[in-house]
Amino acid sequence: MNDDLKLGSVVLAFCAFLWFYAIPYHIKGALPALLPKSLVIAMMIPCVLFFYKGIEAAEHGVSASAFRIIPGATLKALGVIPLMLVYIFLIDLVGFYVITGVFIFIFLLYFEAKPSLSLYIYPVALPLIVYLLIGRVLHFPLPDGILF
Amino acid sequence: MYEQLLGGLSLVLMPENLLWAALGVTIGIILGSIPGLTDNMGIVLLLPFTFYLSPIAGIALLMGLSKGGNFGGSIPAILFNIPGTPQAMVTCIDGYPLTQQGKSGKALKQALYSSALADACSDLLLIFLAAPVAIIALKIGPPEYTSIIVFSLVVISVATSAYPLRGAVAVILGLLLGTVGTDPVFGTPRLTFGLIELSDGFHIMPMVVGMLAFSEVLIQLEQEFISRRERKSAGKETAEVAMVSGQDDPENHKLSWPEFKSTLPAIFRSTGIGSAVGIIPGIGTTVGSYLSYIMAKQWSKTPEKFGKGALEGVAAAEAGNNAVNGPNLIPLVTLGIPGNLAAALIMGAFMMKGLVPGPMFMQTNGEMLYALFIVLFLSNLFTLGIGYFFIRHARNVTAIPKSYLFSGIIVFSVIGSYVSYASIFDVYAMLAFAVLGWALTKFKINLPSVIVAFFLGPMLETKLRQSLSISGNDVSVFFTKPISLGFLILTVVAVVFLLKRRKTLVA
Amino acid sequence: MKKVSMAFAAFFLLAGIYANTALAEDYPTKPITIIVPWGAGGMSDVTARMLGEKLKAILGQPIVYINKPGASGAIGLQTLKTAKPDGYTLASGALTLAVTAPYFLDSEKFKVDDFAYVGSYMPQERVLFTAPGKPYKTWNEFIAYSKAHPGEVSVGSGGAQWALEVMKSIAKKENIKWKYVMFKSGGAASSAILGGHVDACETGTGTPAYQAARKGDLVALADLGTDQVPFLPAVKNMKDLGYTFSTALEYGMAMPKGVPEEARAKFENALKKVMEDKELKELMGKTGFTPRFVTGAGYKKIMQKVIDDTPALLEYVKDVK
Repeated sequence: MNDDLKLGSVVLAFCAFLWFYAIPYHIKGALPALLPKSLVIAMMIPCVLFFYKGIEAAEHGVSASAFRIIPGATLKALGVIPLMLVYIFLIDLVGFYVITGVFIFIFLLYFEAKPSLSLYIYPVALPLIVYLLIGRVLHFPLPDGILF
Repeated sequence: MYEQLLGGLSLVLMPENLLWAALGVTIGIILGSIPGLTDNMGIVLLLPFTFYLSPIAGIALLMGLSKGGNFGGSIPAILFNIPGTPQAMVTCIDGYPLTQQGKSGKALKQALYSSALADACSDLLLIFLAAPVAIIALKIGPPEYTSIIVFSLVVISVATSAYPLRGAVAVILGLLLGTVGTDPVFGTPRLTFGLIELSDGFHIMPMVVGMLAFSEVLIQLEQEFISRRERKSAGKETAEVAMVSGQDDPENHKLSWPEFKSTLPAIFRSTGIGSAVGIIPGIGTTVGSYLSYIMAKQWSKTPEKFGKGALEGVAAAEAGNNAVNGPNLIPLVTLGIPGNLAAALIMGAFMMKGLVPGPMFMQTNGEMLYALFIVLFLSNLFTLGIGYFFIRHARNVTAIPKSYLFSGIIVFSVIGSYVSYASIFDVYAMLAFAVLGWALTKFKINLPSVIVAFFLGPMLETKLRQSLSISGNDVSVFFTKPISLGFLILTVVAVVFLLKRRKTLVA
Repeated sequence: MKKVSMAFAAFFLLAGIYANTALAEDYPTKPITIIVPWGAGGMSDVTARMLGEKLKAILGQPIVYINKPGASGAIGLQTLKTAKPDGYTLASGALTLAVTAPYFLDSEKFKVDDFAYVGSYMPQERVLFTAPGKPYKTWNEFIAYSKAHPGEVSVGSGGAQWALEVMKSIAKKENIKWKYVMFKSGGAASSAILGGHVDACETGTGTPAYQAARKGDLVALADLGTDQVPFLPAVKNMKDLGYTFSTALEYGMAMPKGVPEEARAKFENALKKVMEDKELKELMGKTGFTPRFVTGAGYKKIMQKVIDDTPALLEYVKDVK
């Protein structure tokens, strides 16, 4: 499958989601739904053209795709996402400063940073600086859970 | 007026006030240059602090902050392809290629001089033409707004995307994201999926930080892992390397006078475009810099260099976004209507001092107003001086290992999306937007177009429906008002012109 | 690893001690957070910060402001409802507007007992303005003109659905057909009326339109509330004009229900003392604000009344288009 076909399918699925679920069930009244509905219809124009171009290209045997998933690289980069989910969840639960230090340390390890002294200093120093500036000088409360 | 100007001058020249302005510029540059944090956030956080300062000092601090932030945002845009503030996203287009060519110093200097020059010109416009310009601003009612927004959106989407279909997807997606929240007329919730956090729509900070900063981190992480794999299979050392490696030619970081002179026409044209955008409250700096960039490319003698490291491109983007600021304050000082978030916050600072910006302000507090104008103008010199100091050292940041840089950016993205509304939901939203931005980039969909459409979409709908309720659902209102009709015609002309130029450029 | 766990244990211990010291008698012992359910730089925000600076001096603790705008204040109020009732979190602003917002938005309603009221500090009148060039200069002329030109006159609102509904109730009573236009904020509405893009427009006192009216650039037609408009004493309110429905914006402070009564009372006293401060009164007066202290019990009554009255208003105007 080439890029145009992939993109066309994604856009089509998104439009279907909006048209058959989101707009009918999550908008009350005809006028508020007017703009979203017309946008979905407008979105169908590039969508159809993507399919047209994609099928034409496929028939000519062109199937270059920029959207490649490279196992060792793409997935490893996206591994940051679950790490972030846990991080954000714990911010609310444990408190911003402590968990941020832990996060930075884990991130550096995940990233295979060269082992050095700064590997230990940085996770402590960054939250500390943020605390001094935002917490002490500006008195803005970042989330404090059971710890800090 | 001149008496007030002189009186203002004597107020300003107290070193204390200048000191606060300089401090504001410094903080602004720092906050602006950290992706995830912005100058607006700085203004919000420092607002309580201004209570202890004299009115001029307090407002000089906030205005300096806004100016500094505007330039600061271009530093990471040029060095890392990560805009520090949303308006710097256009600076990335030509700034980052220059860094890749080892000319980061040149690009940074170009950005600094263009910013300061355009900002100073736009301040002069504010000082000398505030009253007549305010009258123009009032002429812009809902129908005129509608046409102006249509013009901006169409021109930006047609001109910026190499692939017209993907440009259309970007704009429609941005508009759809903008419909989430509350219906602008009936006030009923729309597409919120029952989440009260969404009833105000997606907030701007999480969206911008996620799409521009975090998604770029994801992309660069992926590239880093790819290059590590390649180095590994080639049997080389696999440890990470810094952004820019060795072989630095100092000549490449200098900006010569002939080089700068060649960008002057672009700077002055962009100043004009940016100022025109600034007159209309709410359209914003991002649109100003985008339109300036597009026009600079059209008028340039060497349009093929744009996107590959053209100094003119950096100059136009930076001049365009800084020129918005001066005129943006005009509706504030003449009518008491803030043109953007920074102006709204500054207005709050005025009011906490018992001063009411607006029609009576010029008469009752004329000296103070002119004092502020002068501070504003002088702040540009501070931006120049302090900015120069910063960029001399900013290049060293590229020597920091990527893992440290990225973890820092991630933490600041979390802080930046959290603090505006103290909402953890916004941090999750930021993460979601980062993934969306990553996927869209993979499909070669232009993220800035999505963001501009998201900024302008709710305003477009509001103004469109306001126009229709005023006219009693009569569509002809857009064609009978001269300013509105003018912009609609201009839209058609611009599209025809741009499409024609595209052909000649390709051929 | 041992050291790390020691550190963790120490943290827990400290956190425990920290929590125990927060007893009601010595309230307040740590910074106080004020939730402002509107944007930074707006009316609620500015007044909250003005008062906050004085409250800080009396209570001896720093005050942190958090802006939670959206859904006409309902989001901020919802945040307060779910906040810890320890007396260290309160909301400040036009809370009567926020508490009625769910009725207009058709979302989850608040009950008056969801909150413990500290007191109110300022009423705000909503005023209908028009440009001086129009063929009507008074309320009666405006009504007569609207009757003679059905469906031609546009009336706008500066972001208050409530005020727009009150206008609809007037339209129903007088048998008028108006075109209704909603603006996002008082600022946006002000520029629309100053630029002549709508025929009449309501905004609160203190907005640019109000300042323009003080200067004589705009004409005030009526007060949609039941009180007096500062600096414009001749403007008649809804009671004077004989209308049933009116707006009642009352800026005040509230805490979540279940706070220790000592803490609430201490804050109420502090607010009362602040409201007697001459410097503050002068500062607020210059800005066009109208400071007036009402006790917590009094504020609760006001809130109760708006919660009771709003469904009746909505029922009355439901067939007005």
